[in-house]
Amino acid sequence: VTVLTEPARRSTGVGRSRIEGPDKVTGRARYAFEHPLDDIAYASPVASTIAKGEIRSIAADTALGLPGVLAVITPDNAPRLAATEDAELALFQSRSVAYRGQLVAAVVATSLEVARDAAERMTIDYAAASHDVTLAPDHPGLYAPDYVNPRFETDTAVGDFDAGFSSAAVRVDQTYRTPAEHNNPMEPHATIAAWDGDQLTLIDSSQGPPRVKPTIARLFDLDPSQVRVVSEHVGGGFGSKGFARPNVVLAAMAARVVQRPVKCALTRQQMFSVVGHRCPSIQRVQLGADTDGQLIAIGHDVVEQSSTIKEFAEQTAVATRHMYAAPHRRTTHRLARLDVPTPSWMRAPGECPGMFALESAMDELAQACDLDPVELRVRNEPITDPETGQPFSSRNLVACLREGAARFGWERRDPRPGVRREGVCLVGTGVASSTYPARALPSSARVTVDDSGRFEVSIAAVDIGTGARTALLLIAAESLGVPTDAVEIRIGDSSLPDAMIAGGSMGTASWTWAVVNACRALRERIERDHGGTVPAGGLSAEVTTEADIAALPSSARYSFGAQFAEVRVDTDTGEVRVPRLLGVFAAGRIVNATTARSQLIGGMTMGLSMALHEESALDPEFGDFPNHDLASYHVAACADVMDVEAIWVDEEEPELGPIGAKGIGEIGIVGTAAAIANAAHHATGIRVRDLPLRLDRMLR
Amino acid sequence: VAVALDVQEGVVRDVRLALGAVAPVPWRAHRAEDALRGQPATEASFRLAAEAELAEARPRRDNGFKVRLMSNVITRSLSDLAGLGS
Repeated sequence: VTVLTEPARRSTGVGRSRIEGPDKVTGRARYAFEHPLDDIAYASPVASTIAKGEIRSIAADTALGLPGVLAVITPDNAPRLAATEDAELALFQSRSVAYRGQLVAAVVATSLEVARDAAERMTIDYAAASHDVTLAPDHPGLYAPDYVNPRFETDTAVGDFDAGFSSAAVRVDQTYRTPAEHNNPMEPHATIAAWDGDQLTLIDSSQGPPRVKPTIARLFDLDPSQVRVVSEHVGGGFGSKGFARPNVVLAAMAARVVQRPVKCALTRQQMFSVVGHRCPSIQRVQLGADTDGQLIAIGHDVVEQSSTIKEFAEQTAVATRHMYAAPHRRTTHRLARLDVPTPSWMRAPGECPGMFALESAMDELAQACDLDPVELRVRNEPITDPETGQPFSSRNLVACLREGAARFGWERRDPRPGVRREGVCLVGTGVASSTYPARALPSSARVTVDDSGRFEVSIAAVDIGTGARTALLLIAAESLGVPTDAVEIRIGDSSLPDAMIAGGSMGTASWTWAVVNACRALRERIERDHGGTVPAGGLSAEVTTEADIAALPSSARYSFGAQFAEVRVDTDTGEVRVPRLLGVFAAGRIVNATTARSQLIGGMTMGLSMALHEESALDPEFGDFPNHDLASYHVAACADVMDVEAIWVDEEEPELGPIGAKGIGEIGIVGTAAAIANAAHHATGIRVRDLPLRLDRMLR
Repeated sequence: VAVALDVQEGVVRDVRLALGAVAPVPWRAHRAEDALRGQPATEASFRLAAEAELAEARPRRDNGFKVRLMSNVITRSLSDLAGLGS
């Protein structure tokens, strides 16, 4: 029997380590592939070795002859799937090859080693066609997609951009390029599939069990209730696990073929082809301003690519629509469909590459106007959304810039580039703004209390390493007015109340909305119907936020931030080091200081990695990414990161749910690369407009 | 760059110099070694020796930067080893 106290915001700002931390460091926490099942088999896919063409024939005899091989699945014998409109998931349903590395067959065997060995012995004869994998700003196939990811307008125009730009006293007109990059979560995409009659259980490394469930149900002609997806612990996703990938389909199909549970984990090399990546971009940014730096015209025209089998149009210029005030504006996106793997969500799709270009151009404009780059941004702060006229629910970019400038020591900065030499190094500092949309999508949650006063919160959320489970615990305990040790959080299972995926920086806002409302509903029932005492047998409340989210006011809701970087460039070798990175963010309520800081400096570290290291080179001759492993695709390691710090300013977000948490999953990576490139320019006078800042680009 | 340097009374008595990542095989910089023996152990001679080695370098489309990079790194490595500082 429990008497509840009034809830207080006592969890706010508390630094709490992730509650599953001990399980993770002792190995008790199981990732998808690690779950033990009896009678397990292993599926290993075969990837295409041409970039375009048709499969003529597949010779499977050698593979089938290996002891332990249970089955070979090819387009000749694969079970027919009930849905094929997503060609990335329509495994082995056609003989066409759309890109190098596409999965064209698979082997199922009693051990992983035999499965991989047999997969390598599959002989596939192709009729290869000539391929086109090279993006160019004047590619003849460029077209305007109907919308850009997920449903933004492809082009926008306000005022008369051309007239405004040509009338401006100061003009910046530059083209910036970002390379293809790969998400590279540490845990590969992995699935265990087990059929029990027509009931399918999937243990999957996923950012969204509730989203995988209906997709797989449709492919295998099942009712969604026949599919259960479990993702208790996930070792990162960065967007690439936001929906079902071919590994899930392969595991389910193979398990049905061999009538045994099947494990399927993609190799790192396979992850460079079939689970998405950030598409390369060519971005022209035009900024026109008065001599005092007041923007008159902002233009951002993007050229990018998708595969021939699936359209993914990254929303690269979308952030430019709300960053700065200017009467004349234009944004466009054009897409070429090439014989390449399908790009997808990766670490702030849109905002991340787009803000590299815009924030680099802002730095160039500051220099052209002989104006401090912080001051330039402050002068162009809009009062309302510059394209839609909507009010901002909360906007504290200027506060972030000012706070960051004060902490970083910006006021002592000499604006001249290339003049600070320390030994063989040139030293400089740079700044860039960050932004990310603050959104929530409908979710449900159930809260149950038992006789002993223990609470259980159930929601099909998932913790991909961010601390989501811990944030939900803090918020649930706060809303219930009980200590955290009286609350159990159940997540990572599609059989729990349906919820938004861990993606788009929307998890915390979407899930806490449902959890807080469920907790409130339960409290109300205890107080109203039971006089403040939990009745014998306990009590339960379940809510959905569909109506709350439908009733959200029509405002512009974004997080903002400012990133400051110090850079040292070795003039002998061109090596770039980043001795200091500071990020200041305004993202509404920060639920858990410990994991929030970790997530933000993680994002900034990925931004540093984008600035200095990450580049998936596409080989025009063979059409694949030859640096498809972590040895040749370098992701920033501890030795690359020196001093990185993230802080936040107090911000009350009045609209986005009961706690006003805007989400911090992605904003940390937005703007970092521009801050570093701007600092490299300040250090050396060399402006690098093509990421990454490789040493050959710094040696001039 | 791997360097062994023997300097006596400010003069290079002997030197061994090998480069990596500039050719399909590890590259012994014989020209630079020959140019350095008997020369004063100064940054100027190190730079001249590096340039002598690289005079006939034939970079490809995407690695032209390595010529300047190698000149810098050879000069710096020899200077460091000779205790010239940088």
